[in-house]
Amino acid sequence: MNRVRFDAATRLHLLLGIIAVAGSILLPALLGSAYWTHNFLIVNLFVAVAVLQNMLLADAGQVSFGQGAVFGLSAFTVGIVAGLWGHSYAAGFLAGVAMAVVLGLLFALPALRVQGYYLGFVTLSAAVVFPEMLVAFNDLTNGINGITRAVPALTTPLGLGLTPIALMVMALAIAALLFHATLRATRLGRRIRVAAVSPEAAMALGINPGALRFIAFTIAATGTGLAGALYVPVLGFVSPYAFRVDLSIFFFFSVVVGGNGQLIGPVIGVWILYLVPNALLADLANYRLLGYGFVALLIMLAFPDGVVGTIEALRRRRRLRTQVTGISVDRVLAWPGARPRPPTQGQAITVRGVRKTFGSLAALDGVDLAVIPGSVHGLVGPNGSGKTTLLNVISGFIALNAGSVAINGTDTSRAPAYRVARLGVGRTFQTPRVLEEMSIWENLEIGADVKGDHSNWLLALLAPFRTEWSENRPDLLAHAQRRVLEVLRTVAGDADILLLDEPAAGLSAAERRDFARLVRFLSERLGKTVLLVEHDLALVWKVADRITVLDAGQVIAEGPPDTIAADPRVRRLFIGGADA
Amino acid sequence: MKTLRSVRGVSFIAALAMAAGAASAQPAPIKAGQFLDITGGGASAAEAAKLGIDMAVAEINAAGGIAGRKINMISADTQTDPTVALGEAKRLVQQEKVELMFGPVISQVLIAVLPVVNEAKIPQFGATGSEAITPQAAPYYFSVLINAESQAKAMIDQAGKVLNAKSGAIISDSGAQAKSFVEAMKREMEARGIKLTGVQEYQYRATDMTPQLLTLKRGNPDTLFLFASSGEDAGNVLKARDDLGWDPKVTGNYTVATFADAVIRVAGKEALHDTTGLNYTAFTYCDANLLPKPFGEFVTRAKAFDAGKAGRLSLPFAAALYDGVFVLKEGIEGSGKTDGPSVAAWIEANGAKHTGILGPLGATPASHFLVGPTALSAVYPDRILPGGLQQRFGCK
Amino acid sequence: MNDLLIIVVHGIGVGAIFALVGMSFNVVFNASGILNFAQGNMLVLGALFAFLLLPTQPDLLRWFILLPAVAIGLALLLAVQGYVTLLPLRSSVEQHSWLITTLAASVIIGAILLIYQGSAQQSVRSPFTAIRFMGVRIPATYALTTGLALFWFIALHIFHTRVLTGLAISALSQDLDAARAAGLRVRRLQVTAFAISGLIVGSAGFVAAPVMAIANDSGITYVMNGFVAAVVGGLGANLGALVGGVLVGMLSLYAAYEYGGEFQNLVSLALLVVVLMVRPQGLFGRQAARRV
Repeated sequence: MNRVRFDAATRLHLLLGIIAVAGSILLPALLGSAYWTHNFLIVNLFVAVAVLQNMLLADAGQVSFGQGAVFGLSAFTVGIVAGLWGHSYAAGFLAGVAMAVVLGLLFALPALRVQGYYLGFVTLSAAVVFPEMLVAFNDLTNGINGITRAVPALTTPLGLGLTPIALMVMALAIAALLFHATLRATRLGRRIRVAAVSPEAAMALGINPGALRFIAFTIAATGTGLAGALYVPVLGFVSPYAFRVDLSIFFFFSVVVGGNGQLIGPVIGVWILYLVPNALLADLANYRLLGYGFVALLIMLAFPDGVVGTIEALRRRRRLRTQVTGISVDRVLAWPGARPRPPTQGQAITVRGVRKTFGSLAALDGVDLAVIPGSVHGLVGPNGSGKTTLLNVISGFIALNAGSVAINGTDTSRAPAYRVARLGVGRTFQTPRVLEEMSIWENLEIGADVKGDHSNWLLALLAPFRTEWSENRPDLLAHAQRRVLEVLRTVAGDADILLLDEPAAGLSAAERRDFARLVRFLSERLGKTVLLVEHDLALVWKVADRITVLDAGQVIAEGPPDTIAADPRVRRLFIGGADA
Repeated sequence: MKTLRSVRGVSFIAALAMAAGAASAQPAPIKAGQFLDITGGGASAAEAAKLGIDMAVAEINAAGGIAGRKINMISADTQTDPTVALGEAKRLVQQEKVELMFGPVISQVLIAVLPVVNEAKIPQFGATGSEAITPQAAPYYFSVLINAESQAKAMIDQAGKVLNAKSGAIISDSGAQAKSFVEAMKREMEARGIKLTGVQEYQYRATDMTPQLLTLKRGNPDTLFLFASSGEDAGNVLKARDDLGWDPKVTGNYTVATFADAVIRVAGKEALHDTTGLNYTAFTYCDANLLPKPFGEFVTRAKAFDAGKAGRLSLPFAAALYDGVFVLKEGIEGSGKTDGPSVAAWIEANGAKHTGILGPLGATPASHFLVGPTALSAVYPDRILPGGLQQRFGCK
Repeated sequence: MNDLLIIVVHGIGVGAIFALVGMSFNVVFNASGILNFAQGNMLVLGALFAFLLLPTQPDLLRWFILLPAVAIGLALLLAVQGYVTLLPLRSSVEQHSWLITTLAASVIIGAILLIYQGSAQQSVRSPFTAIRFMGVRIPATYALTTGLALFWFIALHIFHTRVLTGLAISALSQDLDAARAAGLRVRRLQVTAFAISGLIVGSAGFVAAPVMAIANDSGITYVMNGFVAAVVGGLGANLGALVGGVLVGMLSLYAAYEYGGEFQNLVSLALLVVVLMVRPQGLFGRQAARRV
């Protein structure tokens, strides 16, 4: 585990966020304003929930319109256990958080099946039904009358107008912000984000996206549950009226209005959405809703990416004009070390009689393939011959209809992609799955995250660029560099077997030469097995140890480059030049 | 931060006022918080309540105030949300330092703010129905609402004694009041030996109650107990009854009577056949030549005060809240103090002597509901005089 | 048995309103990927116009003249709302902003109603006499809403398959980028789609007014059920909205009849969750709700 490092923007957000939270708790207390003290206790409780909603939405990509129900369930459980059943507040607190986590896990179940707004609607249904359930089960919940439960120990001032509950709320909101910032800089946080932006890339990196959704929902529910449990001492009363669906919508909106994914966004969002209607417009009575509607509308028109998001976008746009130091293949090749080639007996990849049909079309029709460990194996064939399908079958992205696949002798015919990846199989995609939402450095780190080894030689070698690449995103990189970045990501993950899908597409002649050197380097110096799908036959013939030719889902030739080049069937297939 | 600044401003003005008071002996105004559920689920009741309270305050101020002190009213909207309500109560009590509070109309809102108002010992009245709000829980608070329990008692009297019903079915909306009504009604029916043939509920502002009535029709009850929270809802129930060609006698609640105009707008006057509602006896008549004065006068004044609102809001409800302000005024002037314990003790002891619109009040140290079941009468909802008075059941 | 038949007839009539809201969702969704959550309050506005403009005495001629007028009025209003909703999307990568802008529009309409008529609920009496059916009266409005839903279903089908603008809007739903590359004026088409959805909810609100609660807070019921109808049927598919709406209408009335009125809302939400879990793309949908 390496030390957590925040970039400049994160540090600024954290600083401002903590000042806002601490200031809004401390100042009204010192001034002795009970009204503002109460308002900001609520605001900061909501900030804690919204920060976690931000994590859930922006990092994990999970749309939940039901966080208000999680919050309310925790609060009501505290009310029931500590109020109706007469147990201590501490017991209620634990029960409340536990129930919140249970509901969070229930939300994660549909996330395995549906995503996006559809998931939002499922959770929204829960939020709509929740207060009705509280009323329906009135034997347990005291129904519509609610539960009164004061916690005097937490609401008696310690001095300077500060109560223990105020300090707890402050600590929770600050902890939520720090947690979110820290999570992003950790292996888990990066993997949550990869699973959200590109499930394919995630699985290629050995990540099970479903498992990470569960983790994200659990984290959010835990924090939301903590806030809900603190709601009881703040109010001294829980009632179904307080946990209507509006509350869930409020949390979601706070994130969007503040700026989806911006660390400090939820703080700004909650301040605007809670204080504007409840404090600034409170005297307007009937006109309050009108004012609220217009404020929300105007904010989205003026700040399309949310308040913080739009400001950050402007800041970024100014910075965009600067160049970023590219990733130099020479620098990687200059690595002085070397790894022994693995013994050339056995097979790194074994494919036997694989058949894969799409409808009535057989994309693969009884394909056999054996890749020798440590070799570079080329896979060529005309368009639609089944090259990429074969790659997908080997890496577990597509289930096969018949036949078998084995990696280093382990059968993987039925294994999901993330499990194949964990056997040491890394891959790239025709369109590079570079993660635009992450910094260039993070794109490398998520590779290293596969084995959790951040002290590996590649990151050490590139360390001089760490600060620069941490501040910039891959959209500054040229196309060829993005290809290299994707390959290096799998290298950073220490995969033994690399499946490269048309890596040279769109590269210039000079860039292809560099790329060829990189592939040879992978095999000769690092001992990697490389399976290369490529249209550029010249490149394949230059780097491959052996070549397999596919046509219409069948293997028509297999052998060393010279033999294949002489094969008349192959010549017929690629008539008209080497560059098919 | 606007309010922070206004606090400082207020204390500055208060200091000036004190200085001025010393010079001219003009008594300082009495600060009262109007604590109503202007938006959210309590809105429709709160709007009528606001009309009554605003009228009372205007009249009291015009007549010289409470014990010579003008009422300075500060408004708050609870949004029918306990979380917001607590903040607003703290603003009124701890920041604005109000001495009296008018409202709310939703029980859960009051329960949430009880610690704040109890600690400050604020005399307060509202229109809440929950039985959980006892004098122990809320010692300085009185309710002018005829609560669900009282309505159930009055309705069962009507059905059992007058209609001689042997069985009944209940239909109500799904609100909090309705739920406690259903509980109370079940108890009363069991006590009186009236058979319960079915219970159904509909969502507030539903328009098609056909399925609910079809279910209840299967039980073939003598009477249908209808507890509605809006005249439109009641109208839709009665319309569905007629559409189905079913004709049980309908024993309706307070809403059926006092929002009869809305019932008629939705269902037509003919839909009110075989239907009774409940009203404050003070707002009813038997002989058109012998009419009770105070309520009729209130209606006239309400129309002069705000014709638009008086035209569409429940005036009996507004009148009850209006009278509530006078009850607090009497309590303060009678006890000579403004603290909760003194005012509450005075109202408990002297409520029966009250001569306002509501007539004699029934508050005791055991119950702070000012209006009990005995103050209610069954009425013909469609027999309304221009002043809003309704004719009692059985009168010609 | 008689009871069930009555439930079915009422269910179709109520469900037709949900189906109409569902179709108005679809038109905008197909063109822009936006779910316009103001649609419920727009429907209430259509009904409010019926309340304001129709005389208290039945007047069929005026009714037939006002129907298209109100529909066009709502179409203009929705065009404006659509334009405003689309503004932030132009310059933004943030694709959640429409959630806020459409709900803000809904809040503003509700707030204006609140200021205008307080929390009062208005009602309209139908100029048509009720239909006698098996010894009971069925409101004529239910026949009209059913007819209107079928009318809009057919009209939209013709529009999307025969009319140039309709074809262009269909193209947007297939592939927005390709449509833009092909030179279609995307924004204008999207605003047009908003306007068409206004024609649908405007006419629906006007026709359904006698069976609607016209109040500042009643839009939520219609938007929720209309939305469930659209999702259950499959977002984007009008046949789905039609079937989904009727399904929601009948199920909710049946639940009230068989299990009690407290289950009326619950059952439509349960339907939503079950359909999303079992068949995420909806009964007739083609769009994939599911990602890996």
